[in-house]
Amino acid sequence: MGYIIILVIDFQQAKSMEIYKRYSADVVINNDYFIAKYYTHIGIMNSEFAYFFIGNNTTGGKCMIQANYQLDAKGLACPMPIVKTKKAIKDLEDGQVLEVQATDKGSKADLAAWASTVGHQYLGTVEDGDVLYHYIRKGSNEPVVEKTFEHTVSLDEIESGDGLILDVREAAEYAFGHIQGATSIPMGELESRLEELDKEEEIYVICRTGKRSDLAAQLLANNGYKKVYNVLPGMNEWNGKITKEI
Amino acid sequence: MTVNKWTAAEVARKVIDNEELFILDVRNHDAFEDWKIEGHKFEYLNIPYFELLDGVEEILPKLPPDKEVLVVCAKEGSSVMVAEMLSEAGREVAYLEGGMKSWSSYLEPIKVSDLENGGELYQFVRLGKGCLSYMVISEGEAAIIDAVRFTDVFTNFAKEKGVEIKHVFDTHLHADHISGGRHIAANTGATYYLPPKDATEVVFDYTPLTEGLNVKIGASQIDVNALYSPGHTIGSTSFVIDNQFLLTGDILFIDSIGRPDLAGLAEDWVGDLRETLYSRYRELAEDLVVLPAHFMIIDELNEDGTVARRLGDLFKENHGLNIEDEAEFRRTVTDNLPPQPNAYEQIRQVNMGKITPNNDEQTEMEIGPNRCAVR
Repeated sequence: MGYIIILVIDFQQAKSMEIYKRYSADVVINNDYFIAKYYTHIGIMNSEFAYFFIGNNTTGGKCMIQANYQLDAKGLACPMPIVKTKKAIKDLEDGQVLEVQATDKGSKADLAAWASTVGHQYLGTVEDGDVLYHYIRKGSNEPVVEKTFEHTVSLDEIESGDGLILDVREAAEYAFGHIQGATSIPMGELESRLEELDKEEEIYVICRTGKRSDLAAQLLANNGYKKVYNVLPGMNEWNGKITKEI
Repeated sequence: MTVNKWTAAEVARKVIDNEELFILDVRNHDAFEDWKIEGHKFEYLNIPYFELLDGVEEILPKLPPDKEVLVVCAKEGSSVMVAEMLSEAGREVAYLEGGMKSWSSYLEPIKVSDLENGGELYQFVRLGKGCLSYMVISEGEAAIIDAVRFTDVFTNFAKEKGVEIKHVFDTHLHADHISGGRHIAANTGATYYLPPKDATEVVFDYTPLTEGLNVKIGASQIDVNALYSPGHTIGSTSFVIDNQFLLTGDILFIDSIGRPDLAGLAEDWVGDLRETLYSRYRELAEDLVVLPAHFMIIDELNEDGTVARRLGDLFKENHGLNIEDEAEFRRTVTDNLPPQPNAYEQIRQVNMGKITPNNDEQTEMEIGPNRCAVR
């Protein structure tokens, strides 16, 4: 298994650079490495940077999904991947994402079923050779936060609107399915990345259920963003087309 | 309390001997719904192992104290864990060695009948997958029909019986399980036969199995006659053995009939299927005993564990043989078909010799029920 190098380049800079054009497709740098063709400059983590995934020439590059923690359960047979996951997820904060690396093929169905029984959110699995990369977002046990932001729109309205759809879920949730054209800024990063957003533009803030987006909308409004709307309910009720970044 | 380990062979005996057993299946609900160990008198409780990580106290009252309890999972690991937890809680339980994986691969050889002049006919029942293979033995020689991929079982059985495997047949190109026929033939020097119409894409040598082919087995010259019977596949061929037994492959089962869609040509082949079932088979003697290549449900097993029924009885009882209206027959076998078997396209590729997956990959492909029939 080759290792993965991630090159992070400022997107604006990358666009103007020769590197962007040259590496837009599979390009062999030397005999050992190449730039994987599914590099991304929009979406997976944010719109600011271009991420180039460089993988070993024989194994290919793996498109990385951002997670807060990794758990290595490779080589372990059932039930160990779940036993370990159960233990590891205790150390996460609510809403954080755990990446579970496993080689037991059965772990996929079992993790998904386990997550739903205990209230975590199974995001999806990426397969790379023999390794399965599972992504699980820790479920929240907090009482339901009352939605306080007064300006809301329905899912139908954002389809016809022409404002910016701001997806404040975790990058991994976004990667496994989002509305086409939506911009990803996870809730936790929003405060430090406010300048990426236009204060005059209509912004439809969306998350999975409307809770995080409610907080995000308040944050934006308090910082002088004028046309902010919280989208209700959220991605869990979205039946339209979704785009994946995996 | 001790934790006992049972083999698939021991569980198979419980099925065939019609014994009671309480199975605690700790796989996830979807896997259990899809496929489980079937027994006439088995009871089940399905609780995924990951719901038991914090303890088994809650399920203790659900386990009958007066019955044997067998814990089953996919590959064994989780069932060992749960069995040990139950043991610590004071219950004597067993787990299935190798889990459903080993259940899927276990074959139980059962004698169907003696044949003329000391010959014998054996049915190899793969309980976990519903596959049936056959061996005809006559003084010194053997023929095998529709062997599954566990070739050792057949070659060892032949060794025990002191016979040389001379002929290996596949009634058709299988889509639900990986054939062992070609490999048995290669290992023993036997002739491998396959219907040429099913073999247009195969990448190995074979001897054509066509209408009227007659092979005699051993000193007592047991007759094996080929009968072209298309419909499940375009090449599907049946055998009449010793003028007593009709091996139907995947064309006719005990409680169902073959499906015509697994090679992607349901509309084209439904006419052949009808012709075979309603004309060709009708011309045969009703006293022939039908031996299919599959069973679907445990109720199709006879008391001795074999899967066999008189052809005349099937004409009376099998729904698929009693649809007079041709249009209705066509609808029955092309609409509302059950889901296709797991990985059936890949399995066909393996049986054509186009891909050669390793043992684990083959196991993975064959997981789940066979689903070759329509009712």
